[in-house]
Amino acid sequence: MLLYPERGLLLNDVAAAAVQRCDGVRSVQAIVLEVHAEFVGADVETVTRDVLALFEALHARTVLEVSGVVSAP
Amino acid sequence: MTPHRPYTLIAELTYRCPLHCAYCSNPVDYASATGAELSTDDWLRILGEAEALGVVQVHFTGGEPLARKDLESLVARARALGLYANLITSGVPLTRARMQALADAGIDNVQLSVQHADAEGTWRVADLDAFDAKIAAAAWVKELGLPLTVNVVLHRENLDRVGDLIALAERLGADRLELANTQYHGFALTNRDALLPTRAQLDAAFAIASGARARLHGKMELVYVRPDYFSDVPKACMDGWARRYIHMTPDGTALPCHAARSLKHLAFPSVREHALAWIWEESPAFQAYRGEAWMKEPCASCDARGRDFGGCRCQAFALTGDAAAADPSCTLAPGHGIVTEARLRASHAASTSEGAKRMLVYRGRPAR
Repeated sequence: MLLYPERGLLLNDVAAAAVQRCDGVRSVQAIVLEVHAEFVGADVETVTRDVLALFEALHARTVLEVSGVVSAP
Repeated sequence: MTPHRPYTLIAELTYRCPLHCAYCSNPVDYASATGAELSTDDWLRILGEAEALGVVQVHFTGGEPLARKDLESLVARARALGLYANLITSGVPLTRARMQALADAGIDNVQLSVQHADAEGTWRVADLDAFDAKIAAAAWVKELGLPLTVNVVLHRENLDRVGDLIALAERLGADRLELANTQYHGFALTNRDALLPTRAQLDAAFAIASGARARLHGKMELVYVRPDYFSDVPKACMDGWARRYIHMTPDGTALPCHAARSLKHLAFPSVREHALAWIWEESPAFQAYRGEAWMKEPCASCDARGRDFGGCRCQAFALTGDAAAADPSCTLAPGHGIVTEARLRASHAASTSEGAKRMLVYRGRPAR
């Protein structure tokens, strides 16, 4: 369960795996790939879509901070 | 055995408070109708029993919870139990050292009440010159790296300043701003004719808040709570009676919500005499309006009954004298005319110069 002021979100396994990896260091892309690797059988498009939707929802609640855009190599 | 699990404990540690807010949610007879405050050991036991029942969040509130010298040890116990610990404070008695001690104890979030966008307005609502102390308190919270929620109760006298209130919250570095229209319980019901806004005020404020919410997306979460007197459907009060929350008063009386003690026909159990598990699962007061068996028409056959639970029991009782009636804020309720009439009176009063700024009854101050 992810707790924040006055509310809490009961996370499913995929969401929990994604949130646990939000450490201020990993990029969003890296998290998507790691979660996909953990849940064999799920296609990468679905995992990407679900994790990005989760992150956007958490960002809208200011529960998740995005530290910056990593410039492309 | 109830299928419901409490998720949140609202720990009202004390009714002592430096502020005298004209909309305080504490019972109007708080000074005479309540017993001695619970001891530190009582609260430590309650936290453990609440966690065992399934509680994951605890709000330390009051009154002013900083008035309790044992607040830090209660926060530390909550955190040791794995509970999310939230402090709801006026900020007035706070010092830098106290905030540091609370941070060390593990407080997760601080909710600071803000009454108005400036010192004069704050004084008018709280009957105390408290504005500067609040600004200082917010700065300490942010300096210590803690999340800050700014709570503002909205009413006739500050709705026109919603833009300034949002700007103030931004300046304080708030992560979350809760703009909550007054709920007419406790002192707010006493002062309803002075506090109830007009629909024009509400529409203008809502437009400003909606614009700000889009602009601040991802930086500051803006929550706007509409007033049930104007919303045509009742609020899902407490997510249903004794369904998600346990509210503990300073003297250890357990309630399903902060206003429930106004329901004089119910005997609310005390943690001095009963285990919290019995209170939650078996006490008659917690069973009284749980589920749907108590409902009358139009609630009993209404499609919305699973969403709004018939609205607020305390409001139904306060306005109609029947706690099992449909909440009069609902357009389908037989008592809806009471709410309509209050709105019309407010609209008329706000159009006159004396009505726009009426005499307020302050909490803990003699009437004048």
